[in-house]
Amino acid sequence: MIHLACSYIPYEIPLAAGIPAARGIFEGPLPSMEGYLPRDFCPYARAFIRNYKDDTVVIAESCDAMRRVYDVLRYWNLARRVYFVDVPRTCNKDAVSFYAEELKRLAFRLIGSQKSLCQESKDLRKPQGLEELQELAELQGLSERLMLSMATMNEIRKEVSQVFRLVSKGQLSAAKGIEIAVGVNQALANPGLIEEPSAFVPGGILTQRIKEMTSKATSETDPPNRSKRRIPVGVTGTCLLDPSLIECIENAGLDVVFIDSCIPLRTLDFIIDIKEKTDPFHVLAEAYLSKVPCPRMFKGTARIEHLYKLASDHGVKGLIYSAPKFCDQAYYDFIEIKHGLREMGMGYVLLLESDYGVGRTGQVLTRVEAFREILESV
Amino acid sequence: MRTGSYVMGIDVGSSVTKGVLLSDGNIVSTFMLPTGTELSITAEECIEGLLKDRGLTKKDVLYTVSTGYGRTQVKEADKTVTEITCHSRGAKALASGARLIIDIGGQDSKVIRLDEDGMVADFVMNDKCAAGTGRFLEVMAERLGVSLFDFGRMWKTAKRPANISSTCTVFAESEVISLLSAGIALDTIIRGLCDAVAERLLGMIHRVGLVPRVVMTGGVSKNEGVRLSLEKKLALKVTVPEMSQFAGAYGAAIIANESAVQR
Amino acid sequence: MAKTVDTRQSPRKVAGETRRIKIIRTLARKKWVHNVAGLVIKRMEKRGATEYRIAAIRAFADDLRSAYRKEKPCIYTSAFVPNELVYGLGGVPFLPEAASGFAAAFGFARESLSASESLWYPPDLCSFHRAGVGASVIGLAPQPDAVVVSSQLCDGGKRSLYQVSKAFDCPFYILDVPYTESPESLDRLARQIEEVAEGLEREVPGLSGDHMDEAIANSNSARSHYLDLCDLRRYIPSPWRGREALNYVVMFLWSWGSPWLTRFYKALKEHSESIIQQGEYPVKNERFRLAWSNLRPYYTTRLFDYLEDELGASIAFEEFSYMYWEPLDANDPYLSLAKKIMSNPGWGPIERRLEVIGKLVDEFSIDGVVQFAQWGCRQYNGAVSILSDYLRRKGIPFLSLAGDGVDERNSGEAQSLTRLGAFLELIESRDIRSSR
Ligand SMILES: Nc1ncnc2c1ncn2[C@@H]1O[C@H](COP(=O)(O)OP(=O)(O)OP(=O)(O)O)[C@@H](O)[C@H]1O
Ligand code: SF4
Ligand code: SF4
Ligand SMILES: [Mg+2]
Repeated sequence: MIHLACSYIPYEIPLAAGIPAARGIFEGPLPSMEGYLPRDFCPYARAFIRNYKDDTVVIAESCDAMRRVYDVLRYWNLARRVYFVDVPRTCNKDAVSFYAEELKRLAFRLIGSQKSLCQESKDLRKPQGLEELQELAELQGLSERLMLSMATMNEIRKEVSQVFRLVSKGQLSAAKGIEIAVGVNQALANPGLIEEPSAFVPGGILTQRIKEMTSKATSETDPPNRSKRRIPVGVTGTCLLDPSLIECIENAGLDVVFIDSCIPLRTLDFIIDIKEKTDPFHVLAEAYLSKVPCPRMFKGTARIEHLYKLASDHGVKGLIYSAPKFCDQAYYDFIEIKHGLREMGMGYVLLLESDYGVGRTGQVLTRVEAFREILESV
Repeated sequence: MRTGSYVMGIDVGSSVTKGVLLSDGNIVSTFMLPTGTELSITAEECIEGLLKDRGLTKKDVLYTVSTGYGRTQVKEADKTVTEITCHSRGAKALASGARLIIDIGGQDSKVIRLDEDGMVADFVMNDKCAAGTGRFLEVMAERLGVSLFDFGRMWKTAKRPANISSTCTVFAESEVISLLSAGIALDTIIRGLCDAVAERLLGMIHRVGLVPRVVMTGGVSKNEGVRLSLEKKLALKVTVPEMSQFAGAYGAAIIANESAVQR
Repeated sequence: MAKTVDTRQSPRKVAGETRRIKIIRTLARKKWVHNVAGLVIKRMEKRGATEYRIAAIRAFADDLRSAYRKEKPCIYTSAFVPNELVYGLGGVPFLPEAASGFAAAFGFARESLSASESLWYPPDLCSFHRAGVGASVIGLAPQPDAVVVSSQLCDGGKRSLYQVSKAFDCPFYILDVPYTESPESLDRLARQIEEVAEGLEREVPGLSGDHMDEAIANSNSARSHYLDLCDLRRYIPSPWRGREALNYVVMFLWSWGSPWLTRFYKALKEHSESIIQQGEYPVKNERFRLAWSNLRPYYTTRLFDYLEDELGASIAFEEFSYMYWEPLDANDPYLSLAKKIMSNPGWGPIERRLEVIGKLVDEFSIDGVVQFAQWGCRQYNGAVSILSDYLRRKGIPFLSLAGDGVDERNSGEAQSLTRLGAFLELIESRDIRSSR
């Protein structure tokens, strides 16, 4: 199994190779692993540190914290293999071709590791026998498989988008939406499913299962009591650590109509424009670098414009910024958004420093309720 | 609405629980007691204290709003409202034209900015530990063997403030100890402490934006030293209403009064 | 002729604009003030102030005059942007991160930090970045004409400078540095550097690439003097005080490509030679030799008196002073600058850093390593568990010393002194044991 650390690492690659892979989602840092990173470190990074034993971990060049996670996992041999994907922060032609190469290397290695061709536990930046791996990849028809897995992931992402459309219409609670997105993430790591020969094929067993799962989940929940709709707000930030914050916001009497965070929106809410006859890695690289930008990117005003559009499309009255404690990317991003949105005429942005289980703390509830009281009065 | 009917605001703070009883919108009784470990019991005692004064019973109360960190533990409450809103309502009523409210309690400090219409426009709360709050000052006062009530007097006798950079209880304590051992006068240290608390508030104040009239509420507003330091740093007058510690409870009572009318 | 001098107020109403700051920021832009400063420096020189110090003061005075008085375009850069680029284009670089150290040393840190706090920068961010933003928005720093950052090392560096570029509405460029070295990644970076140079030339009046050869040559000649200096610093006891070396790290971060860095390192080299010849070592009774990682507190602190004078511990070398790049090639400036950036040992897998630290320990006869754990620094603090294990295996004691280089509120001096004392006791007891 492969553990992914960032939304910029495409699910498509492991799926095409028939390897179960999921984004790491946790309930908090493991007490036994607390010594590896200092306490004044982002909770997600600290939670990511665990003993993966025979599994593979793929880290991306997300932020300072994740670079250290990469070092810690390797140095202390906490996983069989740890790979690093160097994600550019811009999205010009150069960056796309660079990222395409980077993804290609990742794919070859994953295939190689599956065939036990690469035994190394540390990252092989200059893998030996790259040609050999490439041959193997060609033998397996990797390109064709990737094209298919992109189409499959498109189907799955569409499904998730549907779910969040229900959320934004107030027909499903946001917390439930998150639960479904997490379920999709789990399905992608389910060996029984992914190792099926038709898993990566559009309309195959994987999509079927996921469709079943989402329709069951959306139908069995009693539609939230939204006879009188409450005040709509959006949530944004870097990594949403757990659903407790979303639950807290909903309990405080606000409707969360979109969640612009790593999971779900930035991972599961975009469609790849599959161009036939182009290098699939190029297509992937371009799609991932131009998806909804995360705060780590440097794309000028793209992020703030995106948020403004989200906010106005959904008619939200306020925005809640969830910044994991000690996540520098989030802090800086928040400042930009707070000032930027105010200039654009959207004044109500609430900063919440988050941690695992933060939604269950009194301080946060007070802040969210006070925010609701402000929004009620305007 | 029945005349002579009563409404109540109960503020269950982390250190002190406060209550205000209104009749026809006028304050008729106030009560406060330390917050115990059982919040609901403390709230109950506070309500009793408020009513006993006037020979009333709970039946005489039309509407109750609770606020403060234990707001959900008040059984009698018809509605809960956060301290942010309550303190601004209370402060506005106690000092007309208030635009910036600084509430420093035992555990939290909050800075609230009101817009021209007196509605909450933005707010910030301190995060983390007790840095720069009432609890911090209590620990320091104890360490120095000085009563909190003497802070204002000593502030004025001090020729200058000692340089204390930290408002973290642990760091500040060691700073205070080394100042003492360096033979720095007590009043100088006290003034330094007040400056450190004010300095901390300054960042929060500027985050929401400084607009006069500045009003202080919460128990620490009674600490004249902190007020003087803040006034000096802001170069502005800071108003402390007589009933500043009751601002949250009073605000809750005002909201209760409005809700009762609507009922 | 100097352009009109802009004593522009900060773009937003912020805290920290005290009267003192208003006076200083006006003075910093006055011609006569710079003239007086020039005379003062001359006097210091006449009175026999040490040559390298004069060289440094004069260099900064010149650059700052050009920047404040807008004689040359002022380009803000983040640490590790090769400033050969800026000097080569005829501009003066300004490093807000390093300037934070100056702000702390001259007692302006509080105002700078309050300014940043009022703009919502939380105290959990590294204070070098917070104070850097603060000092620029209250006008304590010269106004930028453009901002260039590299994505290397800390996220805060690039992010904070991005905000500065927004506040001053000036062009912003990022060098998106690849994580590992390969021919493709070097090419990609070299192309970016070239694009930045072209962009700067186009967007900022007064910049042109005419001086690039000169800047590269300056950098190379300074480099060779610097290497000689490093050799001298191996000498036991140390010819140079560590606390001072940690101050002059600013030159290492700031001044490559400048016409005066050669002069400075040459003077410093000669100074060290004469110290060794005369046997007048700055740390009178050197009992321990430490290597120091990350920066230091720049406000007044008792730390170094205690360490150097009371405990007899020299800081023999600093991780930040390690020369990591090969000489630059004037025929291919962009590629060689790309190589310089990519060879920074703080970037890439941690093994690169460990190798350097291991080398320093061996070459400088180090008894113990202290890492100043700057509050909010994810880059270095995140590696503490690895570094301490690595050094333990090498048999070298390691101390992670919590503190803050700029924001006094985040450091407890008394605790730091105790920790340092205990650390040296540990080294000593180990030495006694091993000598038995
Ligand atoms: N006269 C006084 N002089 C100085 N300090 C005082 C005075 N009266 C109360 N305090 C301080 O005020 C604090 C309590 O204030 P308050 O009642 O506003 O807190 P709270 O509402 O319980 O706390 P919080 O709002 O943080 O939950 C105590 O820390 C106390 O030391
Ligand atoms: S917030 Fe951005 S950088 Fe961080 S994990 Fe998510 S997608 Fe990656
Ligand atoms: S929350 Fe922030 S610091 Fe943590 S992994 Fe995500 S981007 Fe990095
Ligand atoms: Mg209170």
